[in-house]
Amino acid sequence: MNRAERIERVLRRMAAEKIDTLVALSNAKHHLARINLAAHLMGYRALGESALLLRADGTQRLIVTPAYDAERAALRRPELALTASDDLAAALAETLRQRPPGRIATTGLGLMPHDLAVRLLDIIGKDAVPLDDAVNAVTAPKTDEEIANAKKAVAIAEAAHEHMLAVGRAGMRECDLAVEVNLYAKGLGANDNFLMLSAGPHQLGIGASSNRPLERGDIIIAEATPAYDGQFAQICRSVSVGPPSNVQVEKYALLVRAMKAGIEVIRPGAKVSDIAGTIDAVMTDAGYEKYNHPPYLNRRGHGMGAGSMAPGDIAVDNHTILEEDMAFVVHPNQYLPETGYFLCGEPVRVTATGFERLSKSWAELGAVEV
Amino acid sequence: MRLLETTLLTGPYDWDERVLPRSEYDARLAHLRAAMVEAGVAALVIHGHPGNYGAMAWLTGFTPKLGATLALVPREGALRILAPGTPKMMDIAKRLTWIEDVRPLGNAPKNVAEFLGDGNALGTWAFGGLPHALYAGIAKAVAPRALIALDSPLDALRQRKSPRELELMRGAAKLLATATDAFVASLRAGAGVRSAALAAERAAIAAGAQDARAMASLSPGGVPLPLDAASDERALDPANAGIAVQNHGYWASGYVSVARRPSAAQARAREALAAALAASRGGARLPDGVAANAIGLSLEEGSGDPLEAGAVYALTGAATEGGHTAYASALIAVTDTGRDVLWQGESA
Repeated sequence: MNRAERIERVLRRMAAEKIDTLVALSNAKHHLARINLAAHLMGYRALGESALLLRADGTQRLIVTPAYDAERAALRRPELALTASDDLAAALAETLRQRPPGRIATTGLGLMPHDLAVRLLDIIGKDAVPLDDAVNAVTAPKTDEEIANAKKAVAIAEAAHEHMLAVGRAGMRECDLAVEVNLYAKGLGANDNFLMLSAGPHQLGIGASSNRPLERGDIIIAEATPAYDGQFAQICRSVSVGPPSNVQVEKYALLVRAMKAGIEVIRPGAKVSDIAGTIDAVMTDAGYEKYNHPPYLNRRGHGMGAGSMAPGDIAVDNHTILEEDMAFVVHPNQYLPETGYFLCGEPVRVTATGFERLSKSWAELGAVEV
Repeated sequence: MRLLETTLLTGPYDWDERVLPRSEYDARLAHLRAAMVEAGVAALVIHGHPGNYGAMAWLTGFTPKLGATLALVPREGALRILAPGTPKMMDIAKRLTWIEDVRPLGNAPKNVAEFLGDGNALGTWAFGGLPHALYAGIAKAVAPRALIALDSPLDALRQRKSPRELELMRGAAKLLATATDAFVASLRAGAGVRSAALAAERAAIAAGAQDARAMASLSPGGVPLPLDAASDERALDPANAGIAVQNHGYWASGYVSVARRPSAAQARAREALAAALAASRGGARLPDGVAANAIGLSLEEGSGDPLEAGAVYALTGAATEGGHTAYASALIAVTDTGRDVLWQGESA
């Protein structure tokens, strides 16, 4: 799929809903874990609040702020008509004045900064139809460009993990290790990195890195999620500070086995819940049924965004049907009573007949020097 | 300076009492509560998010790494923070602040309404940037009681820097000098702008910066912009950078222009900045050609028109000629009688 085909999908949905103009709004937050459908449709990480206007006849206009972001927007999306302004609401009003919009739908309005949203509401009207769920549903598959970028991001994530193994050591603060890994990933071409990293001898869950120094016997758990040209892709890894214990090695192998079993069921037509259910079954067989639920885990994976988190959480209650070119991370990440919280996860793409692993190597319990 | 918001903040953000002791926050809380009494509100809610958390950090020290966070302040008694994340993540979140009561954001409107209790009205700070749906939810939960924005008096409070804050901003200014020097040296060595920007960030981090972000021109003499892709690596002459560094929460930002040959644009930018520096003192309005904004725990804490004594400002002189823009910028602490230059970016 390319971006034009994604837009075609949206246009068909607009026609079904009798929508004349879609105003997709971006709050300029380009996060792994947050939906930003405007950015997803634009294929662009605007510096400030922005909008993509999509008319039923297929014409599009990108409105970016601040005005000086024009050069970058034109470089990234030369095919789009562009308005650059310091005032999104005023620019939107002027654009809609030039050509009456008819029946309007929106995405992203609820996530816009309140002061700006109030002005936008005055322009688009309170009768505008929220179309977030529908647009999210029909744009779930990644474009060829996003898949290519996701593969580059995964390669960076794997290299950054190797770098973490090389430079991590006891006495180093969690946050300093995270910053070093981020800088290394940037040097390899990443433009952002959702690097959740924490450490401890027996963690109950993962958190953002703190100033705590690493200690012998810690397990470092890390979700490394570089973005390449805006497309995030994630691997999840666990690393022992000093040699891991036998029980840690054994339990980590169990989680990897559960992850592999979950990945094996991926194919078009399968449900997201099939993946999570398969992982749960492996853990149940091993005697950990109690730990298949919160607070011992959050989810068995999730979409990887450049604005869209489709197909959503990998969870037993998510019955979304898998489609070709959906891309997501499968991570059984959870707490085990013998070891504390472990992370292992691999990114995958749904192919016409099954799945493609985006990472070169499966997660292994790593170790850094004391 | 506007930066592209990063997806997760990863630097050293735990509250360090040796850097900003509890007494500093107690003084701020006393001023804030006086403003609450004057406004007649029973409680105050402060909003912060990873892209701008200056108001929240000013009172609580808390840096929201993951998403929208609320600080709840009663007129009397203990403060509370509602942070994104699961209950298991709150122990790590508590490291970020002197406030003991840190809970998951959960159902934020319900939690805010319960905190307000029977109070008559709810004050807000930095709610203009709150996601609209969350704002609407809170307004509905506390209705018919009003949300009263206290941004104006509270922004003014935090713009006036204490001696300890000024020291931290001097530290940030030194880190900015380190970063800009590294950018210039990297370009001089033949690197492209992406490598030079990364060199600037690395140098600042190595020198102790909490965070460092560098933007650079995408074309010769272009405005500094976020660098998205490896393809942004280009050797440019002239080239500009916009760099921001953070020291214990406090930002310093500035622009630097690098050119092989002197240009009229460079000369005009320098002249404009020199005129602005000469005019700078409390109450002054700057001459045309120079933009100013207050800076501190946020990159932009308010207008620089007029300058206020006690505040710190980022001044930016810019001039364009032949499609090339050149910059001259400075960071100044303003007094009643003049200014103290904390950093000045010379064209190189």
